[in-house]
Amino acid sequence: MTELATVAPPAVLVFVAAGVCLVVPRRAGHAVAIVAALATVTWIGLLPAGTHLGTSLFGFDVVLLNVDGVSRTVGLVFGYIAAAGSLYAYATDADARQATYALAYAGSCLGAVFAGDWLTLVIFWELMAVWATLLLWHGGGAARRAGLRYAIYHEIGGAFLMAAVLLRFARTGTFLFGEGFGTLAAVLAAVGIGLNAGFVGLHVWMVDSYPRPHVAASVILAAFTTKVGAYTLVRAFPGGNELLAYLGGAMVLVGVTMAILQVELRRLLTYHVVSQVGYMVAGVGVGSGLAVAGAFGHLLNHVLYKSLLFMVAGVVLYRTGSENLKRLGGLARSMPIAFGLFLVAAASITGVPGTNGFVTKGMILDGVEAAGLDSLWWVLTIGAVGTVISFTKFGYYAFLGESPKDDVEKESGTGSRADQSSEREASRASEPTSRTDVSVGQGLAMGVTAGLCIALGLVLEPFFAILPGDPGAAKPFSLSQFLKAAVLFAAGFGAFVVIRGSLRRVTHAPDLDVVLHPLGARLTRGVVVPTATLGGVIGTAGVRLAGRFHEWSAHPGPDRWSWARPVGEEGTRQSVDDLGGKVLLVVLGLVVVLLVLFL
Amino acid sequence: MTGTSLLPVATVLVPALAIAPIYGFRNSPNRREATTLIAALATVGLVASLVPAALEGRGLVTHLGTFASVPVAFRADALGVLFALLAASLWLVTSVYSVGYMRSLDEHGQTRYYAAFAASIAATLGVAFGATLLTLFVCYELLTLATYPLVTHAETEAARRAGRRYVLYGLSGGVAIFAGLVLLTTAAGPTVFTPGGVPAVESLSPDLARAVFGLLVAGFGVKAAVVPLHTWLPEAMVAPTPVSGLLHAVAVVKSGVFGIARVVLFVFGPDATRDLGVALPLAVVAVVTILYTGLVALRQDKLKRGIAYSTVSQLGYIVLGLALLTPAAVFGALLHVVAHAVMKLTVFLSVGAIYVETGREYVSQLDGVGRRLPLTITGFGIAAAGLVGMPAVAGFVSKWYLMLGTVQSEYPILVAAFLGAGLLKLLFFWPIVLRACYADGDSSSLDFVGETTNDGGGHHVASGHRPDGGFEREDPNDEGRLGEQNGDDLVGEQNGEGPRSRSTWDAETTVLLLGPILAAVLGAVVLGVRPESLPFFDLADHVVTEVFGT
Repeated sequence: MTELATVAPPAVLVFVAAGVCLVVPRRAGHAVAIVAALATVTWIGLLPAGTHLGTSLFGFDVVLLNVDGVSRTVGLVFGYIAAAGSLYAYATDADARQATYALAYAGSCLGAVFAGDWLTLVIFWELMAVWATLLLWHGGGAARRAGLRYAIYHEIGGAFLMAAVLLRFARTGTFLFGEGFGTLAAVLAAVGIGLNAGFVGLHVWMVDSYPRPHVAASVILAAFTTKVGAYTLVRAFPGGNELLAYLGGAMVLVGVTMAILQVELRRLLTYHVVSQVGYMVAGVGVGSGLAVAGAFGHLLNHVLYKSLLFMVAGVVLYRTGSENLKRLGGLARSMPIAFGLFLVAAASITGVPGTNGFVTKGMILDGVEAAGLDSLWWVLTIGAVGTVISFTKFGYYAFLGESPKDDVEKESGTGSRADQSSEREASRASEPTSRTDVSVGQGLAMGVTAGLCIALGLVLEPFFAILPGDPGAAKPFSLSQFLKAAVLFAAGFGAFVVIRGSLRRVTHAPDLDVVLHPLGARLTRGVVVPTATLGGVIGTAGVRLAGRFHEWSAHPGPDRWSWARPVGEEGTRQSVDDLGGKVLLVVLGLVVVLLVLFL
Repeated sequence: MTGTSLLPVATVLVPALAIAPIYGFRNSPNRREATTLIAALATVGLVASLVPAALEGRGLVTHLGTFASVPVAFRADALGVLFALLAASLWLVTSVYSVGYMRSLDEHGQTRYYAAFAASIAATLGVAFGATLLTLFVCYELLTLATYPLVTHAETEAARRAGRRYVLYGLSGGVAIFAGLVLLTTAAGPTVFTPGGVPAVESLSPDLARAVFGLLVAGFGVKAAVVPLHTWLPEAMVAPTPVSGLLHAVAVVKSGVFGIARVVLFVFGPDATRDLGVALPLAVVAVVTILYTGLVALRQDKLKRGIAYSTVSQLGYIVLGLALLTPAAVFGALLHVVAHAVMKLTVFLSVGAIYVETGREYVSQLDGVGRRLPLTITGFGIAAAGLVGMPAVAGFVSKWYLMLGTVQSEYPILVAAFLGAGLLKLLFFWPIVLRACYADGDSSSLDFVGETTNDGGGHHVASGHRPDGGFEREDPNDEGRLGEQNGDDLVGEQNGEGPRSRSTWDAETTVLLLGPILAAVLGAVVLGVRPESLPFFDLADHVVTEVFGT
């Protein structure tokens, strides 16, 4: 059985399912998706460690399947979330075409993760962007332009990564993993991978695109690309890199700060993706056994609880028609199951003892501390406090408190036009006033995920068995961890109470995109239009010049060739005809002479 | 290394022999079309039979005597067979498509069309198999003449203008080549293509050699649409779409780069080119071509013009690869000759099908076309992805080798040209795909570059586009074809028939149009996933081995 498993990379099954979804109806398609994804999880579980499927790809040695602790950890959770996400998509009225794009996207990410060489990884890296773009376009409305921007960002990021990989090949003669990058290549690779991972400054595409499409598409998008980025960082910088660790810290801080300021649920959660991936990047940057184990454990856990959070936001939007915290409230009473699931997810992301997030966040923090990076440790801890603040805000305004009197009336001035259209697009609710809770399908997808969040917080042995690095060095249930958690939560709740008033006044926190996107558009127009105009001017000038030359050199007279324009038309064209005719005659004469001579 | 045979000249003559029967059958269209198809099949078969010998280095030769003590011969060596196989197989695909296209539009002058097409292919094969510079030159000029009736096919004022410019440019380029040829023959004796360079060329004085190189490259560069000699190509798009596809993406323009390849690899050779210092200027010209036309393409609303600029840009890839003179770059360039041809042909065939079925020619009219022509747009999208450089389609492999060769060359920074060009292609193609598949009447929000006017209600065609050359849009009444709102007339008559069921795969358009599109797309994907399965990969590899001796 295990021999059979090594015959092809597991992504193949997901791609086949994607193809099936092209031609079958909605229910069958999603069923196929769920089955295929779960089968992929099993398949990945069965793969022996150290599997190495080498082959040749248009002249280069590649490894299509490379199984080690890192790739297996990531692969398992990717397969799971493809399944849960497909069930959730079905339960939120997604169509089969969306399943196709989501599966192809997931398959590309799996292909990237199990690649054993940079060429295969780059290939899947580019394919990831294609399918994500299609998934966004499929979302309609404002998601379409966001998809176009997504494609542009990722084309640029991919270009950096490709340049780095090619430079490495020029130096080492191979694409296979092993040797690292030279200095220039390392910088280029960091930028390219960092775009996918969401480094500060390179993260805007996420915030632009994740909140816009169908709620199930948001779940899928948020689960994959950034994690592939974090994963690829460990391939590019296997021994860690201190600068990288600090970049991770920056991500944590900036992400969580922006998140606290958000009022739209999915935007808030997207900033948290940046923040939590920052923990992973910090762990990879530290590079020690414990830190890497923590980073990848955190990656797995993050996919679980972040997807759950996006699913919660999705059902809120699905049932109420809104994802704006200023228009929500009191959902704990009308959607108690959703509230319960939210509590599990929020507990996981903030690190309540008993959840998976608590374990792996602790591992990363311990790894950072052990490496002696104290300032980074404080940054990460402050980030954790911020996470508490942010989710207290989320829970308080969405679930607790009074429900808005009339939620059909849209308040003026809150939220942008794009939000409202995206809410209309994303919500498939039949009537906004029906406040029923999660449906069976949604509940199942979310419930299993929540259960895993708790299980992986309590039963650690099987979890640690698959993690890379040195998970054994972790002390997840030591007293100091509980103490830290207690202080964290106290600080967080306290801070929330203090800043609650000022937070309420914040309606819209702009990000780099308000600068970058108009700049990009203006830059494009500013380069293209003058270039084309200049070319036109030169071209016209050239034609006029040629015409004048021909007028001067030719003797305009009655035309002898019937196909040329008659005398009396514009002189320029006539003279040009003259020259053309003369040249034609010369060459025809030449051909005739040649034929006569050698026949 | 050589084996004498009549096969090379026979292969060149077979399409030419079809001309007379085509005229003979001018009153029975089915027999006329059958003649073309039989000739195409025969040509493919003949070229395919030449592949094994070429791969073994035994390029078969037909000697046809000498002219002024310069040998005239046709040799089916690896490079020649690569180009010939490409041209012949795509001729077959395009011929099937032509039948569907010409008949659907009930075009005039179809006999002249098919005859000129056959003549053009014969000339192309002559260019491919020309064993001496003189032979190549003669066939090259014949190609210009043979394609003239195809460019001016529409017989409108714009078509005649485009045809005049086309011939003027082409023959002027020919004059440059001829001058170079005469200089070279006088100074260094007969120019028989030799892998790695004709030995006698090394004995030339550097200035003379550079002059010859410049003349030859400039001459071939006209057909290869090197900036600033490229303006004939966007204007030649007035031709029927199969012509634009096969000739101006495959045969004619590739003859230009083929000529440059012969000059760089088989006349001067990589070492001489490097020593003369002409490689860098050529590379710079290529980079300018790539980026400049990539930018100008974004300004075009007429679909075929934009694609033409994109073609010029992609030809720049090939010239850059040749100019960089590393084995990987040259290999990538030769692969790109094939990859680009297949992908661009798919794009043109799709655009032609769109025109046949919906009458639309402008990007701003394309909203919702994807729903009407799903398979066609899928083919277009896949080919476009390949042109951008996405994996699993042919363009990725060739571009990867090109970039690898660039990084290994003396000027690794030039890899930025390829990467930047990829972004420009994306900016060009993605909005088209987006509009076609996912627009729903609010196309103005999807305008990305240049189109800033919004006529509020209904579609708009951006006016005042002045692509270089100062050409005006031909028919300002084009917009009238669409009716009030886009999206209404896509699926049936405007009398409210409602969407026809699109459940059968050939419901969107005739199989004569769709089949070739799908065949070409399949070829592009095969070349992208497993390029070694087609002979082009090994042929290109053989050329590189021959030339570089590695």
